[in-house]
Amino acid sequence: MIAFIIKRLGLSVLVAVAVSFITFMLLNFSGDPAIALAGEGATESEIEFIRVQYGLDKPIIMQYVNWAVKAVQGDFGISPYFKQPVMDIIGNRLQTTMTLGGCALLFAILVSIPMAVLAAMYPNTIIDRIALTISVIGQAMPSFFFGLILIIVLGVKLRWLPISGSTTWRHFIMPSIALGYYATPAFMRLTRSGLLDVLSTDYIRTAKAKGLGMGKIIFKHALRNAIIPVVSLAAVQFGFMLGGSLVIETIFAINGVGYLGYESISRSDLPMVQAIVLMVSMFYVVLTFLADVANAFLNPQIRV
Amino acid sequence: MMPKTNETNFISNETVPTPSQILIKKTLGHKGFMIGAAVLALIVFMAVFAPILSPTDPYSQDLLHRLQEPVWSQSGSWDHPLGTDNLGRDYMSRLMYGARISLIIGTSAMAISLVIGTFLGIMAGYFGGKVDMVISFFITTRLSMPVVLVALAVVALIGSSLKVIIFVLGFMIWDRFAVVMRSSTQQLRNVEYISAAKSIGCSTARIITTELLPNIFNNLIVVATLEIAHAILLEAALSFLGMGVQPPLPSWGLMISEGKDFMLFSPWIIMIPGAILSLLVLSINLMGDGVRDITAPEAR
Repeated sequence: MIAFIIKRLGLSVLVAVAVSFITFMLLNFSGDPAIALAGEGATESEIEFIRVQYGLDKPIIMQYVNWAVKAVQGDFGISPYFKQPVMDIIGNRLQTTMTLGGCALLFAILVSIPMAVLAAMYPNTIIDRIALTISVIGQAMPSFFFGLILIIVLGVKLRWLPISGSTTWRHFIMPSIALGYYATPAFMRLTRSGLLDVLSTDYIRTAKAKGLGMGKIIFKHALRNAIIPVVSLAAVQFGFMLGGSLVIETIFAINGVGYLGYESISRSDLPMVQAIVLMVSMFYVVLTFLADVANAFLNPQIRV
Repeated sequence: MMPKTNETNFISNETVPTPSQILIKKTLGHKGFMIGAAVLALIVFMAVFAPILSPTDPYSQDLLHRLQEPVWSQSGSWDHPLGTDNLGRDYMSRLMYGARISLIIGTSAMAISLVIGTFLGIMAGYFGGKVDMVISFFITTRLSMPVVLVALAVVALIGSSLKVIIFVLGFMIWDRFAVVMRSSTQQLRNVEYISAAKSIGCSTARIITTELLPNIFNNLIVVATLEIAHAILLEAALSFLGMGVQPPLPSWGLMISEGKDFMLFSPWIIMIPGAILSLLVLSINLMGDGVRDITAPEAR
């Protein structure tokens, strides 16, 4: 088990290094960063000044090493827009995005697990069909469009919920639904197929034979075993949500990391964009690592 | 003519359908696939014949007739069946030309990611060992990077154009091709006909192209449809955020973005492009699911 964890940890560190390198190279080669940082209408000498000040005149590998060494210590430089350390700005926003991601995940699980249970209890019936239809349509609708529909219906027509900002818990309801909805099909399919597999095993037949009710069988026996892969899916989905929250945060004007990322991209705030891309990637790396370790604990066959 | 006996009937083509006949029958019998195919055919038709079908030019503005309602509302007229946008451009024409953008970006980005992902996946699955380790590492690294965020940043830095969007998306979404092709290849690596081809001295390139590829082709098609839909959704999101397809091009994502400010009084202005976008993605997904069902070995 320890060997597995060490091996998996080594992989995570390598991936983290690779991601940081690719991020740095992508953002520094997709145009001249000095021109981007100087902003529109900057003179030749201003651009040169920025180039020297940000160390952009040095070889690219040196730039990367300098950046990476500081990044490990939590120093991503100064944002040219805010004139403050990047980390100070992101720190404030991170909590908001985490809250949004957590609520979205909760919503996805609360919707999909009961639907999957119903679908598995009555396979190939009208209930199963409805659950399937919802998931197929859910995958087809773009998240920003779904978010706008929520705004029109719940925010403007019914006036139930505030449509922008992130000051109260009520502000988080619509964005959480919009963001979480996209994870529901994956949860539903995995839980449903897991349940169907478990329900066809011998011990479930025994449970049925001794006269247990269907509800008891599902909740006491089947769901417990079917839920294991769902836990690791939840970790992966949470990572995706942090990345995908950019669109939703922008629509609902939520002051999180995603909205900050969008704004920073529009303002060519390179140090900020680099830090955000790296941070979201790192969360994904850590989450998948934890999911794999948790899986190995629960299922000894994986530990090789 | 000789009267047919039961015996001859049994082996004649009429009663024992050929594999392609089974395939056609199963395809026609698959409701989801047929609905998806019909809707997609309609949208492709609309895109191809947009210059003939569209009521007017999609770019010509008419500021006197801004935000006209579609024909089904009280103030609507057949001059502009789906109304006009905030610059008085005919919405129906823009919608039709917009289909071209979605389809071109979806298929082109998919084609790029197909080449990258299939190559990596087959290499990893066929050679295994160190090659597999390195490629699996590439896949994990790629999966760790948030697609929307990275695509948005790169497109914004390079400067947005149709070509840039296609290439950036193509280079971002190859992961599923690689994952699926890798596992499909692993499953076939040791089957008899591959070993037989090896033993008679076929080259690796020949084994992969003539023995392996035809047998993992079904999975390739399924992933390809999923990735077309994925690329279309990503393009719409980028355009919606103002960093994808640039005005005045009629991308559906961009139309939703432009209509957003007017959606409170005229919800149809975002509902129409949003609905057709969802319909396109839905039809492609239905076809993908259909191909998977039809070609699944259990259902044969």
